[in-house]
Amino acid sequence: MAVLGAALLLTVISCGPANQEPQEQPKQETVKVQETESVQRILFSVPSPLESALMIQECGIPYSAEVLHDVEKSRDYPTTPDKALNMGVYITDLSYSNVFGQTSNAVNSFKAIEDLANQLDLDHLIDEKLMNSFDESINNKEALMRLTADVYSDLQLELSEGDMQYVNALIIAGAWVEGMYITTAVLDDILAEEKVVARIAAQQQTLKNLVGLLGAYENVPSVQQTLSDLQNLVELFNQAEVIDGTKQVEVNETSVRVKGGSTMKLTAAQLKSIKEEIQKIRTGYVEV
Amino acid sequence: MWKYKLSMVVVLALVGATSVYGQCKRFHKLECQPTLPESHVLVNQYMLSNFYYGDQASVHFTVNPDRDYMLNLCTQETIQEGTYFTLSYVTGETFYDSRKSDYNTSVIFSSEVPDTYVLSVINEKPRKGEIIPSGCVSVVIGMALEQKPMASAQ
Repeated sequence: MAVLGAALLLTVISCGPANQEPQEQPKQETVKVQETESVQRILFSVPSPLESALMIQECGIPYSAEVLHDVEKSRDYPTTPDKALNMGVYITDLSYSNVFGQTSNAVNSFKAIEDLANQLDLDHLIDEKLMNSFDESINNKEALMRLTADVYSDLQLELSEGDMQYVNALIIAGAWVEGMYITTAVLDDILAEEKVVARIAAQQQTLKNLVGLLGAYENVPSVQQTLSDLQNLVELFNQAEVIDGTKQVEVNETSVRVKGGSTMKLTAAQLKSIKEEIQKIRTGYVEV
Repeated sequence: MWKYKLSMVVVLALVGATSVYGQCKRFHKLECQPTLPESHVLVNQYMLSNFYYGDQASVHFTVNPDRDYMLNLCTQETIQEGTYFTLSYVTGETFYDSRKSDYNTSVIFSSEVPDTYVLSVINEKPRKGEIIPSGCVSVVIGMALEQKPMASAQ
């Protein structure tokens, strides 16, 4: 029966920095199971805050410190869901500042993350060793990006089991919304370049993945609200026009490349509606 | 008494599940994460699961355009035989099957447009008998920090 429980166990996620080395090697095992049916699982993942930040940079959107969330607010959030959503927000802010080489803002966001990690009893993930690594990497953009990616991955792994899994989903939601908020906040709805609008429109599928991920915890009241907000956004993204394109796949021994494919288009009015909805959702996250 | 027995069974099931997943997490950290080269960073798109013969799992992952993503399939030896992966569009059409590349466990993947794809891990061994082999299966996805030079209009 124990292994039957294990057989049904499923998880997505990642791994993290070297600041917490596991002590033992996993056993390889062959087990006796009671069931005969094989299991098929479908998981949804969402791009990391680093990928969102790189997307902003690739779109040619200039850096703006004004869009960052107020780091002083990290101590003001009363509930675990609020803390989780805002931890996601700060992680994206950290990645954004890292990618644009704005280290002093990155340091501030990192401190806010540390603060929330303490409040969520995740302080063992952001310990003194990690803080020192962060300080040592402060002038090395690539090392900082790597460190941020590792911290985020470690958080995901830590929260991938037990009763904190919904917290994980909320952190991911907060991070994605912040990425979209930054992308659209400094964008002119009318003058935005077509390629930038296409990148924003292409977030439709990511949003659907996020909704799928949150859907696993739809019985948790705080997740219900987040899910409902994002479902409104899905409706707006669904208005995007899909421009079909031919796909061609190049496969060789070590690589696979998909050339071409469908792109998406939004009118200025649709983009404006999406921008306003994202601002509304983000305000709901960050305001105490 | 039956209530006590039932409670014990539930507790054992939970302990067993936690222990197996804990092992998989350690396996992921010790064996799988290090397979990513220095040129790539971890992204939050992974799959980690305990597999039995005949199991299948899929992860929907999204990529930034013109950036190399390394997809590494990492399996414990007990479940290695017959485990392969495929890449598909979300519409279902498969365009890569690692069985055709001698059960390759790693590819560099890139896409000209931002899009979502489906990576499926499948164990093709028959699931029969009382003793069914199992083991941890993990997919590590890493993103190259450098963008490909031939960035498209997307």
